[in-house]
Amino acid sequence: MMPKKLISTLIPLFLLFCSITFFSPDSSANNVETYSSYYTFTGGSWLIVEMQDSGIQNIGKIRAEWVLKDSEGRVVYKWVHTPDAWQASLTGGWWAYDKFEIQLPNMWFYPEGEWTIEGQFKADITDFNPTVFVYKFNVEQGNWIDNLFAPIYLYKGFKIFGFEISNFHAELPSIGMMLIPILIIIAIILIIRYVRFVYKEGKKFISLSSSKIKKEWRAGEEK
Amino acid sequence: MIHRYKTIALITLISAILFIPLVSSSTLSTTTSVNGDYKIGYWEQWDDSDSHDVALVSASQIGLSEFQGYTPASIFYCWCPYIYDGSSLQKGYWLSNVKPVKCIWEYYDPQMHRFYKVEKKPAVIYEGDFDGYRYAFADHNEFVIPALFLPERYGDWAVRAYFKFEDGSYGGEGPVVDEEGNSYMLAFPVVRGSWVDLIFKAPIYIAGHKTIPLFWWLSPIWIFLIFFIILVIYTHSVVGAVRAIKKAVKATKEAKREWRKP
Repeated sequence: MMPKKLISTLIPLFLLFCSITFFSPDSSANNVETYSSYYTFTGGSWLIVEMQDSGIQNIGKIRAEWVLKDSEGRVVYKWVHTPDAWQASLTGGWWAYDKFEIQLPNMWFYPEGEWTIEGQFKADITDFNPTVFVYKFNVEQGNWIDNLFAPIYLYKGFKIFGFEISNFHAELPSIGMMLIPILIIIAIILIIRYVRFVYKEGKKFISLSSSKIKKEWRAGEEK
Repeated sequence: MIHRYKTIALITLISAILFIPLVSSSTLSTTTSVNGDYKIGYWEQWDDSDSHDVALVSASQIGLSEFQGYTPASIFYCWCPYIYDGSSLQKGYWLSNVKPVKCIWEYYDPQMHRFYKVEKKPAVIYEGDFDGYRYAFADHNEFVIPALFLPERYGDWAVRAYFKFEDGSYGGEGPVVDEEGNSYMLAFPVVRGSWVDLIFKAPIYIAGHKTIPLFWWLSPIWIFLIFFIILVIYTHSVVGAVRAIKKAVKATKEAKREWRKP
């Protein structure tokens, strides 16, 4: 009885997933607007991107999604938030605008090359077909100071049948910022030690010089 | 004992010298180099893939033909908004019905690292009726070019400015705006200057904040170095003075003795 129940549950579920995969809107079918930058960026560089899109569908809540990908196409980080400005009427039709600032991560952990930022609006309807804004730019390693103060992004998406069902993401402060309290403590200790050393030696110096003066004076008197 | 003082002085001197590698040999050059034909440009980070539409204006077109670029410690003045009419920059004003409360200025190096960010009250706010708007406003800012020790920091820097309004919204992005309302960052060239400016005058920016020049950062070293030098001079001069007084006393005694001789 039990295996039959299991099979009767799993088969429809499998078919449902297959139908979703087959009938889901293909991202390649979306309108794609590509932009490129002839500037070279490094770890810690800031990129300012924007997108504006509209449609005639009746959508509910709208979200702006920005995906940063490295030169090998791996997702470095994903930001999802409410657009800067948007309108959606109940009778149908929507308009949205978003401007976003992205700071490149510490390049010690990523390959150099042509990176991309993909931006698009998202809604909770199946036939939503927004424009995908692709920003391409060249990224180099950069110097160690810039990388030291560049943020660290942690991202891992969990997929089933090509769909990302969940993800783990965290934006950590830069290594430099994490080290600053330790560096400040070390600097304070060194300064205190330095001042104490200088004070001690200075005191010795003064006492020695005064004794030398006294000695010279006495030597003169004795003669 | 004298060797001990010499050792202390030497240690202090070595400590001071250790900071010199911070200043690369290239930045120690007193000559000012300019990268080819200098142009001031208004640029967007992104270009449409179909066209390479970046507006550039030659320096002579806007009366900067003799100007080579900004060196560390020099001041870059900027107004927001500048209206770009296709050939020159004109000072303008933003109009709004909501009061602007802050103007945010951001300065970026040639690789778009945010070097400095400052939020300040807009310098110019007029209240009245301006084409149906309640407020006419603008802002200006002076940016002291920082001490730059890495060669990649020299090149075209960029400034971005925008306003924060009373209702919490942001707008009035610039500082350059064309007649169609598109906003642009303003690029300005930064070139190498003298090492004196680099060490004594140019501020060091740390994590987006302006701090003191390198010379004052090294003050714990040179202040104590001066202290030791004063001590050495003091000791030598006092010992010398004692000897001179002794000789003078001795000479006086001899003179007295000579005088008393019948």
